[in-house]
Amino acid sequence: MAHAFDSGTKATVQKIPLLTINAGPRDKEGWEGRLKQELHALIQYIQFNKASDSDWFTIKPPQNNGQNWSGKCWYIHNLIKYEFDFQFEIPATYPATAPEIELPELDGKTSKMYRGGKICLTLHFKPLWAKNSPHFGVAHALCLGLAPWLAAEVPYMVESGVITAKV
Amino acid sequence: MELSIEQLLSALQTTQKAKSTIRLSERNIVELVIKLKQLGILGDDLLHTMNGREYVTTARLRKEVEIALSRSGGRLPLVELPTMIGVDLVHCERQAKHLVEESSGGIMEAQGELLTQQYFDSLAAEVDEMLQEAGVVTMADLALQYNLGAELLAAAVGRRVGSAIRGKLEGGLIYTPAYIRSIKSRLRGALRGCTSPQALPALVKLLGLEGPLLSGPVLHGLVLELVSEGSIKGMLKGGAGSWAPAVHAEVQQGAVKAFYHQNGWIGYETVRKLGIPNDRAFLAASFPDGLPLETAFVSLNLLSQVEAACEDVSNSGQWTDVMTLLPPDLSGHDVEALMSRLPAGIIVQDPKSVKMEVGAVMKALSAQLTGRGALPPAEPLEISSGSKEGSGRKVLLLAGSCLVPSDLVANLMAVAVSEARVAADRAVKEKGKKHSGSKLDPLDSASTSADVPSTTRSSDPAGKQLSSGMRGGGKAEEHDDDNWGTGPTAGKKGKKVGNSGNKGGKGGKGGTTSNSAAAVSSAAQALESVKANAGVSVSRLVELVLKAYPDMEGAGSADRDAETLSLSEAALGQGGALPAVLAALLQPSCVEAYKSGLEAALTAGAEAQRARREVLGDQMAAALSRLSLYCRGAQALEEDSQEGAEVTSSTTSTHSAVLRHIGKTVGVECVDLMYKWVRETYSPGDDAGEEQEEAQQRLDGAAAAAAGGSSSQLLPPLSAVQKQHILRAAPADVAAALIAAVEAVASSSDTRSMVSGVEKAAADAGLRLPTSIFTVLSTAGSGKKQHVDKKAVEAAKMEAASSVEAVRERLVSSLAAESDSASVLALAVPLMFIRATGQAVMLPGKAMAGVLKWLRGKLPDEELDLIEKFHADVVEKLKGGLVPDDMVQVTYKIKKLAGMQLISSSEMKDSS
Repeated sequence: MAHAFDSGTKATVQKIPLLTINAGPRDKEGWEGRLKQELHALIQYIQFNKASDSDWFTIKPPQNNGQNWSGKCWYIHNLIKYEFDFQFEIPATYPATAPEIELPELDGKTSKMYRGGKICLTLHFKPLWAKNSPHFGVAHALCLGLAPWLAAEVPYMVESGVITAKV
Repeated sequence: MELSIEQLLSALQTTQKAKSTIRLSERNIVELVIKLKQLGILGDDLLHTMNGREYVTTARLRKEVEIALSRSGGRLPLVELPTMIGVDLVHCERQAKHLVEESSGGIMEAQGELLTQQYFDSLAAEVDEMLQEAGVVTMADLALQYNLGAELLAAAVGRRVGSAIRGKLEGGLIYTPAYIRSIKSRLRGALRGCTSPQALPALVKLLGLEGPLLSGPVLHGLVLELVSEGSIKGMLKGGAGSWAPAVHAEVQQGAVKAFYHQNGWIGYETVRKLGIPNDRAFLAASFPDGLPLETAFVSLNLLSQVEAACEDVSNSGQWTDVMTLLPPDLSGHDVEALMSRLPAGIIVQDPKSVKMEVGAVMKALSAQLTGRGALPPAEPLEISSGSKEGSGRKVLLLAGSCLVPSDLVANLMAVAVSEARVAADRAVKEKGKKHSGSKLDPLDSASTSADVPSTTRSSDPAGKQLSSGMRGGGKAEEHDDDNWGTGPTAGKKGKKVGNSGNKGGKGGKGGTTSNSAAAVSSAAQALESVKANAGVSVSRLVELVLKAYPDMEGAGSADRDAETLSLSEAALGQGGALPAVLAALLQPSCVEAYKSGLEAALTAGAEAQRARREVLGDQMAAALSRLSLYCRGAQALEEDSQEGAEVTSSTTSTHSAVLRHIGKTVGVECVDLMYKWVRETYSPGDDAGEEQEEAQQRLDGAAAAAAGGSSSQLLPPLSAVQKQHILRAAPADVAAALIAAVEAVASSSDTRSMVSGVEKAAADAGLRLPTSIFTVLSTAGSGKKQHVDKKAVEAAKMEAASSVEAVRERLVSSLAAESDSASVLALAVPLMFIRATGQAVMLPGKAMAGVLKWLRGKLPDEELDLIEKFHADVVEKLKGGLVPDDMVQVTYKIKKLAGMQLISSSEMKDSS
């Protein structure tokens, strides 16, 4: 399990501040605090990314009381930038349950994906999340879920010819 | 946690909008730029700096170059640009080129440098400053100083001379007018002071004006200017390299004219030394009456002097060297040319006609000689000197410049010819002697005598030696002969031979009496060598000439005659040209005289030889008759012993002993004479000189005594070696005859065979002799009467009797003078024998007893008793025994007996 994430990812994750408030969207009082912590963690993560020139996504402010998130993520393979839209919802059982990140453009293009474009994070991510709940948040999910998946799947998909660069 | 959600959201947005820090490596960026250039976004004019950290556009670079140029004062080497701007030289150069093109003359590039007009302006200002200070500046110096190309500098400076630079540019020099003025005035001063030609550069150096200006045309321009201004007088010469002042030329010509007028001639060399270049033209122009020769220009006065000298020679009979009258530096050709202008009447100068003239002289001389006979060599100079006195002498021009009257030549000729004859004689004798003495063949002897090294007469001290040789020459000439005969034409060998001849003279003295006896062949060889070598050596003739006229030494020059007379250098070196020429002229006549002399000697030699052979033949005949005489005596012994009944061994041995004795004495003499005769006939000259002379001296006496006496026994017998030589030289049959004669004498057992053997051998050898008495008588006695001329037999008998008589007379006269007993006995016994038999006999000592025994019965017993006793006494005495008291008495008796009996027996004989 431990070896599922490379050292770079681990180091990055450790830079992201851990969350403390254990509250879901349904907890009216706790959620705001939790959302604040989420946003703070995201800002930190993005700042770190910018500083280390490893910026790889943008995220829009969440909608629906902080339950729906969307943004753009990209991956550079062979000097070609592949960019995708992503979105996810905060599940009701959050933070015990991790959010399921979707890449609708890539629906059906790879086997590591559930129906509707949700990426398959079962194998490594879910146990880690469960272990660190409620300290992990959205930023952690992006860092530990989406980023490794892109790194693993984009080259494969480029090679198999299912995706092409937009430029 | 103060922040609200909104704040956080906006913070998120700003964070996301913030640019991410780009972390690209230099390599990435370079790649990026390359990519951009490929894409055409950045264009081609992007350059990068040398360290590679900056990109520069060309426009920026150009600007930077311009700035750098102006910052460096308008002159900037291109190679400095990269370090100043930090861009590669190639780009800098390209931009510099663009700059130059754009500047339209404001900026130029020369030899890797960028130069602006502003720079040249400042340069001109500097130059002007320097010029005002120094007065003159060379472009070369400037170019060196500013390190600029000469052309560029000339162009840049030239444009500014007159404006920015206040001066004149000429021939690479910039100078100020003031400077020129000062130089000109200094030159004027110096050149006015010159009295002789001066090299301008040296003058300038002397003036201390050495500068770049005064080496070239500026200087000449200045000088010409000065001349044209009239401030100096003279002209530039030698490619304008020297200044010849007018005053010098005047003095020169004056000197030449003065010399010519004073001396009547002037050498071109002198004229040239005086500095007149085209000497001949100048002289011809100055002195139209002169005579241009090869080395000098001569006035006609000089010719008349020579003419006068010529006449003088003709009148006085003394020779003269014209050279003494002529300028010393005239060449041989010049003298010749001058001489050719003399009137042709008296002077003979063409070499051919000179030879003809000499030939005529020779003819006249030989006519005189034949009229007078042989010329005494001591006083040859008297010849013709009196007879031809007066004018009309021919004058010969010899050795280039020497005037020699023809009668002087005649005198010399007389001396030379007479010497040649004498020497020819000597040569023959000397050769003959050498030949017989050393047994060398003529070639060898010639070469050995020629190889005698010459130490005298080589260099300067030779003068003394020569003259001393001259003084001695009068006496020495009689013996001084070799150099006439063996010397080659002339030259070194001739000299050496001359020396050896002096030495050989000692040997020659003894040979005067009988040297003409030298053989025919040697004379012939000498003659031949003369023909081959042309005989008389020139060097010897030169000596003669010098002896007669010592003042001739060193006179004349051989330029002209050397070829026609084929003079050798050695002869020329010996005494100068004139003697050599004279010698060469004299030589043919001398050779002629020498040859005739040799021929005469040759004839004389042959006659002498014949005479000697005759004498030898006579001697031989005499010896043979003696042989036959004694043989007859011996035969008497022989016959008697054979007839007698009692043939005892003692008589036989007596007979053979007598026979042997005859063989050893008279027989050997006969054989020796035969040998000598053969030698004289077949290899004459083989004889040793001394012996020859002795023989010759004895000839007269021997010839007289040949018939009767044994005086020829005085002749020393020939040695075995000599006999060998003779045998070798003689033809084979003659040699065989000689050997037969020797055998006949040595081994004959009876008298008859001995005499006939010798006679036969003599006949075989070609020696004709009268038939001996013995042969005639023995043939007569042998019974072959039909062949015998009775008269001859009678004559032979008479002759034999007279011979016996002669022998007896001789014996008696000897006996009368003799006192020694042994000798008395030796004389007395043959006398007794003669009395008993009427035959002469030669008795050896040991046959004495046998003969006495044999005589018994033929003579009175008492006489025999007496003589036998005497014999016994003598034998005793010789053995060393006691001498009987009456020895003297007996001796006297015997003498008396023999002498007495002599008369009676002769009377008896006559009566019978």
